[in-house]
Amino acid sequence: MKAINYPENVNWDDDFEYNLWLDLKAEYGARGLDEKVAELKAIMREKLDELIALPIDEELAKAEPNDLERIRALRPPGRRRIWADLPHDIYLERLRGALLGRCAGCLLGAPVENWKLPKMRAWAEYLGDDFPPTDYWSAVERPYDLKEYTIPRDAFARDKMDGAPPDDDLIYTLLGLLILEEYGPDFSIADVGAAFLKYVPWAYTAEGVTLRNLRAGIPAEEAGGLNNPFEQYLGADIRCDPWAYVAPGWPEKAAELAWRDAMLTHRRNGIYGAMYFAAAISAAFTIDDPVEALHIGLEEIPADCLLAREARWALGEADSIRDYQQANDMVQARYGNMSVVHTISNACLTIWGLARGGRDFTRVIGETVAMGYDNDCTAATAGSIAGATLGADGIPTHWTRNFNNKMFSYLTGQAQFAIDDVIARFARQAERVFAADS
Amino acid sequence: MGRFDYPDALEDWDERINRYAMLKTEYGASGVAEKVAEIESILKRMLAELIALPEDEALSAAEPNDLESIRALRPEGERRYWSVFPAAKYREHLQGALLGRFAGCTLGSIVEGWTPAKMERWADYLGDAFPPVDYWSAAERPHDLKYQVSPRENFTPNKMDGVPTDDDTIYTQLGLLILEDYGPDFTVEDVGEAWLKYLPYAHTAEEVALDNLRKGVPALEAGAVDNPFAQWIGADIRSDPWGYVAPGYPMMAATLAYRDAYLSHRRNGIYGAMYFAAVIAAAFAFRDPVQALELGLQEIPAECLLAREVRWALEQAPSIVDYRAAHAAVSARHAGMHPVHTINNACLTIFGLTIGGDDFTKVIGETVAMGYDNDCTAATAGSIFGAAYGIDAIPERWTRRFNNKAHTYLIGQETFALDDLIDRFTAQAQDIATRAV
Repeated sequence: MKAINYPENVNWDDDFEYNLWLDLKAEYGARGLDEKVAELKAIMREKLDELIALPIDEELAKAEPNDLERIRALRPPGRRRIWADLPHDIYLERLRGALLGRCAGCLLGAPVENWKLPKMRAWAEYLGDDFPPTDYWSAVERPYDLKEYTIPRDAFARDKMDGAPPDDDLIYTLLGLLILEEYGPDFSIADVGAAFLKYVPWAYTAEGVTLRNLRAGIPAEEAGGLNNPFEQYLGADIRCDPWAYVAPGWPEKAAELAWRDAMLTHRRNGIYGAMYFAAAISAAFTIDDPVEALHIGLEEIPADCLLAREARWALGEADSIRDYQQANDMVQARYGNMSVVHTISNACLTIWGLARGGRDFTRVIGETVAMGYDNDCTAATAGSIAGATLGADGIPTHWTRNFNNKMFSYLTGQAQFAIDDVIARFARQAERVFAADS
Repeated sequence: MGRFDYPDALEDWDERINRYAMLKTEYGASGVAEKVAEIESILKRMLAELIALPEDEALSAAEPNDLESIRALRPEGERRYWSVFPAAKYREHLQGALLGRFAGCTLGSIVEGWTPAKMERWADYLGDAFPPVDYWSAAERPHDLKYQVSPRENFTPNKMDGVPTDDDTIYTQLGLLILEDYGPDFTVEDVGEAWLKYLPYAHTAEEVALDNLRKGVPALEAGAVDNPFAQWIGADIRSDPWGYVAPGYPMMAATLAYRDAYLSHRRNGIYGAMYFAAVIAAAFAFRDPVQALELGLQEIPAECLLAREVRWALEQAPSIVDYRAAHAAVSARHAGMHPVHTINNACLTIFGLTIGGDDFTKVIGETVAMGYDNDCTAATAGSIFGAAYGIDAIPERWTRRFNNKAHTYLIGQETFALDDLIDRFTAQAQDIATRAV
């Protein structure tokens, strides 16, 4: 059954028929083409505005507010705070696990991001690699191509890796740290906007729209709400880790920080995705079962928002998921045309990756990547949650041995980080967060 | 300055409308499907208005679609250079043309449509020479199938066993089948029938024509209905068989090419096929590709766009010293033109031949390095070179792993033996040599 019945798309693509005819008519010396294009653009602008203005479901809108107070009012009862104080040794071990787990999941998924399952299987078979993977890919497609204009993709291959190469799923974790360091735990949405302008050289979907809006002088509180059809995509969700890393055992606080960050670029379920996973990671620091963390996360988002309903569905189905193929099939059947980089579909896959892998880290990220969709994002989040429950010692060393204490980024002026340093800096911010509220 | 003032392509309305339609659906908005349907109907109406805009009549008159009018607008010239059929020489040059075509295509196929900069990076990564002097030592997506048949790594020396599959080679074989099934007087309808029999799928103009044929549109109209690709390179890359069976007889080659091209193309799309068929036919008779490129102009309308742009390219040729200059010159002159168009790619084919001269490796290496539809351009350049200079001028490394086999995706025709192909083309050529137009 589909949760949402999308209409058929307006069928335009790169070789959009109108544009092809425009070229041919130009070649045949037709006159008045520019006027025709201007006319079409004007009508399309008008129709787009009409589409945007269509009245939305008021009941659903009430169940999916954007402001923090109302979000909190709609939460189920829950464990807002589990750790009253920071247990330093446990925290540091689990923080290292979460960060390394996130890096490993992301780096395993990045070379096959959004690949269909048959393509991944064929690639693994060609290479002679296990599938689902049990180690990094032995080779990557387009090895010479620069990832994020920074480092050749070759750097994601098992034997070529030297440090964690750059990916948007990692740089936003680092950006969160910079935001906390520069603005403190009470940072505002406007501060996040200032940090985006300072550090993010380019971005995609909702973040790309927001960055353009900020550069055009739109205030941070509005930048995510303007010309942004991506506001429920998973961009904010993948930025959620730093908030949990500095509010471990304190899901409510992690969700609150995630809300302030997410509000810059997203709305409704786009925000809840960030809050949900921030709360889940925060809870994971305190327990040994990643699936329990996924239940605790639900305590920080509106009980009847789409994400909550779908996460409950995914948790309910988890025991019946036999393998990655079935996971992919079920998401495909339930969400149909939903964007492959949407918060909802990918949240379900993240849940199933953790449910299937349990406390076997390799299985968690291997299965999650094998499920496809935005699989570097899902495996990064699954790796983060698994790492927070397992601690660094629970992650097999082959996933981290080539990190060599380095993370690369494409944040402006922040090309490289030392992993030990990142961990120490997160720990300092966690102390600030705990000190501020104790 | 660009040759055309292409209007700005439409912005990403499609993306924004589709994305908003999905977001509004997620928010439970009412009337989304109706709004999308309304937008689609507006678009359809406005597309019809666009297609109906009157075209430049003087230009239309200079670019006719019927063969008699085309012939009437040709420049003066020799229509036939070989009055007798030199069997031994022909065979050597046919081998050169066919294998030259296969080599050019196979070198370009796995970097099809790449920019020179991207190819430079890939060559640098592999440690291969650039422009290439042999097949690529590795393929970017080695396991990925080309045309659902040949893994891309089969285009590399270590894995190649036979000519791997590409549309630039299968249409050459299809042309032979058309001649064998219907004889040299085949009609446009016969070509349509052969497509329905042999082609499992096709792209751009060929795809439109095939879809139209399957819907029952007559062959004479199949290339004109719903076909914005009418001037793209598809017919041009089907031109070789007509040159191969009418060696030294450009007018006959252009005539056969016309009947084939008309199924799927119009105006410069047709002339591209006629031009290169005539060039290849002429190349058999003159050991000089550049002369053949000039003689080919005698078989297309003197003032059509292709003729004007070919003359431009031939004039520019002395100043075009390498692939970078060629890419820059075409990108500037044909700015906005689609990269698989007849015109821009014809110019690059010409530059490849003028830069490479009598060095086969340089011809196909430079042509591939220029980018655009570089398996098509290198295939045609290789064919012209081989027809002019014969098989002995093609270094053995380019053909060594062909192992007397060519793989195809034609229905029921999975593999051809190369010596059998040569024999069968020769039989057709001998038959045609005895006829007049």
